[in-house]
Amino acid sequence: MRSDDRNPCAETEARLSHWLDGDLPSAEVAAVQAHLASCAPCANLAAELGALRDALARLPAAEFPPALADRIRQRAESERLFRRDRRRRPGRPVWAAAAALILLAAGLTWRALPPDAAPAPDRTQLTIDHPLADAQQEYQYALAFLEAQVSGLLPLAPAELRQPIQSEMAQLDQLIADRERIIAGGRATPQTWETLMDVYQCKVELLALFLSADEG
Amino acid sequence: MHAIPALSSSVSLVMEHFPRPVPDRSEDLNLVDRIVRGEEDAFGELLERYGPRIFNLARRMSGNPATAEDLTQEVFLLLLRKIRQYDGRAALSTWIYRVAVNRIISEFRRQPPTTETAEGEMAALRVASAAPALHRRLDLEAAIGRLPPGYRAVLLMHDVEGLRHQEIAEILDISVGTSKSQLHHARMQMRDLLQGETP
Repeated sequence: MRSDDRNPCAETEARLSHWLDGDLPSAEVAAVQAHLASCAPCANLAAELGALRDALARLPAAEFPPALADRIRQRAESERLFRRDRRRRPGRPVWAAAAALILLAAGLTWRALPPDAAPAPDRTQLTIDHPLADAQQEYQYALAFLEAQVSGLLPLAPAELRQPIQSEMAQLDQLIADRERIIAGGRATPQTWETLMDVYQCKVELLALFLSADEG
Repeated sequence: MHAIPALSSSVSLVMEHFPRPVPDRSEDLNLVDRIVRGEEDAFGELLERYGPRIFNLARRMSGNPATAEDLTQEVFLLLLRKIRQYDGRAALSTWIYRVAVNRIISEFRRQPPTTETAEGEMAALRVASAAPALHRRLDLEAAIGRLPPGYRAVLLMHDVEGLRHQEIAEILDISVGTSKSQLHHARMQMRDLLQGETP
């Protein structure tokens, strides 16, 4: 070993992996090779590290357990991580009108739910990471569009059509506000989300009924 | 638009005529989009494509098949929860590896090897040091299990899985130099362990 501050063995050792992997700048390769040619311990170390690297590369891959994929799928389903597309396809006016008429005639199931006079939360604040959050945003977008169309036409509609529509919309809005508030408060259960999706759908169908009736 | 002062006009000219190729991530984004829409086939494709690699990594990080199965399951559930965060800036494989490696490393940082396991492994290593075939598979796997989790991950990704330092750096959010340095330290510790020396 040289008597100055440099320690060629330590310097070479620090470069050995880079040298073995071909990552060493060409200017340094000659210095490493020259040292290895004159230093048996460093040459042995280089041989050992090279053998180790080759042995690691030959390690056989473990077999993927055949049942594991099914287990993962089942768990994902049980935790409702699959974002099944719950948005129903936009129906033709006849279908939408029929569905909405059934709703109006039979009355909404959720009328029995306790009303809550608290103001609806700001929808832009609902940034909840939930499998149905995407569907919620799309419903909100669709409803905003439909409401804009309906708001201009509803005052012109005859009272016998306008009043039941307004009454149903008010109830649906209340149900939506209740559930959005629960979600925003972090207290939602899976049922909260399911119900919210269904109420959104009811409102879409109701607005679609009004627009299709107006077109007729 | 602001000019980039560091670029000379000739470099700018070269960049203008030879722009850096933008990798095509459309296939990755399409698969992710199908998963987000809830297509089970798409999730099956993800499992088929990346399941064995993640299981192998978990198997070697943990040294235990049952733990590896649990970790693989946890990683895929985590991927499903995070899948909407994939934006195509990195390859899907890199993004998935990043999620997987971080999850697996965090498991082992939380739960270091027990004394009993460590002593058993060291006993095996001492036997191995006397055996003529120093780098037999079982010895290697036991030694890998004794590495610190960060070194273990870099060693497995580079020397076993064959990833490049650039990929490892992206996955672990470290520099290429740090990846190279950690690989060298990991190999040196492996050598010491296989010779029966506690690093």
